[in-house]
Amino acid sequence: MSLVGQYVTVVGKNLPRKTRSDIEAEIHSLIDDMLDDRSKQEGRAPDEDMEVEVLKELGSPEKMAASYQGEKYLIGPRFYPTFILVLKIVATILVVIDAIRFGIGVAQPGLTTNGFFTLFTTSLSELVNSLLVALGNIVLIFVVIQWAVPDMKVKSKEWDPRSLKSIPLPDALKPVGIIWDIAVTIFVILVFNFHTEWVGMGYLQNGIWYWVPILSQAFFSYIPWLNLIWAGTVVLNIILLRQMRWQPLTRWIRIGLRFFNIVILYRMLVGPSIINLSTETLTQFRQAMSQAPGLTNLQPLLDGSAHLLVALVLVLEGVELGKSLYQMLFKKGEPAITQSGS
Amino acid sequence: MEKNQLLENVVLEMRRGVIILAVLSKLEEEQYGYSLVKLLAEQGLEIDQGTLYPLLRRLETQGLLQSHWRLEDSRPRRYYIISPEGDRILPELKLEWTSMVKVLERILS
Repeated sequence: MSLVGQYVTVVGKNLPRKTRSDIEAEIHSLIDDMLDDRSKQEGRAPDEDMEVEVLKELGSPEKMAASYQGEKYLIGPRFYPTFILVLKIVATILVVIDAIRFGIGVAQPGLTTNGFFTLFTTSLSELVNSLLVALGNIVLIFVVIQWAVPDMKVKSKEWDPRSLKSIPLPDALKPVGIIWDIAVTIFVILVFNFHTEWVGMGYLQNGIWYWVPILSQAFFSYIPWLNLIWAGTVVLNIILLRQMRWQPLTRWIRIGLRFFNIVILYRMLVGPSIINLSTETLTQFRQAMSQAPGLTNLQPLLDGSAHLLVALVLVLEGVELGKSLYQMLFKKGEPAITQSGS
Repeated sequence: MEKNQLLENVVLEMRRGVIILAVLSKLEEEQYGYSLVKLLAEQGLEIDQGTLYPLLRRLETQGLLQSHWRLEDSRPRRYYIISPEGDRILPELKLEWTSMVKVLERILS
């Protein structure tokens, strides 16, 4: 086969079968015309050197074929926004499920430091695995849709700009939320410093309502550190109330507070129980609850519940910390706007 | 090098629309691909074959051109000519072009 024939065949191999023969014939015709033209200009019959020159001018067969193809998409602009939306929803669901499973695992009594890290790495690898599988499946589904659904005509319905929903500024804050945060934090400070007896459980015995505190001495050893976090939260919220928007410094302070909180929650999980019931209380409670024989092992039940609660808060704080760090490290801020005339 | 590449890309973008108008106006008379390349080059518009041939096919798919194969000196050639639909919109395209030139001259002056 001649050089020209080989070139045309390679171009054809890179083209859809439907249009291949037609385009091959057209390129062949073009090359023949170019060779004729050059032959007349140079006053000699076309030879291999001339063919090489002409083919070089046309470019590689792959490039020539690509110019006929236009842009190809695995998932085109038509479906891309929906694809991203579905991906975000599925990823969020998977993260939440994994976080709950991790929380339940962490809440098991007798968790050691090694056990915690083993559970953490297992959960993380399972999450990565399920995210990859989900990504693959979603891409596959959208590729099929892209291929199967014919091009849709854009609706020519009149569009009203007023139908746009207002988008809140990413850094703006609402005073109600901040004031609520301050009030709740102050309430927590007051309860855990001056009214710890409020944290307990109640039961009815012989028509009399009894209330017993349940927090252990181990819990109180965390109070100075928790006070630091709560005081820091109040100060941060007061600053935010004055500025009414997030700034890099305040975001970093919040990240610091969250991290500190996670450390304390982790210590609570792996340390001694934060729940303690006196023998007298337990006996009384068992008598009061004699109608419910399943509740005889109250201390382990409360321990498990407390562990679960701390674990869930730990996971939620971890997710929030991850989101905050991602926002600070990878999300670009708003562009600086220079006021005209300044 | 990078700056030249950037300039080349912008020039290509600018030429893309212009080429369609030039091709449609020159195909009021029947031409085959290579003769059209030569014709446009003679009038100062150099077009790469890799750009022109796919463009001709696209314009045909859009219904602005028509084509047929013809055997000349025992060689098959595909001839293109403007379609009735292309003929209808060409005057409007020319008016649009004149208006754009005026606007740009005003902007660039």
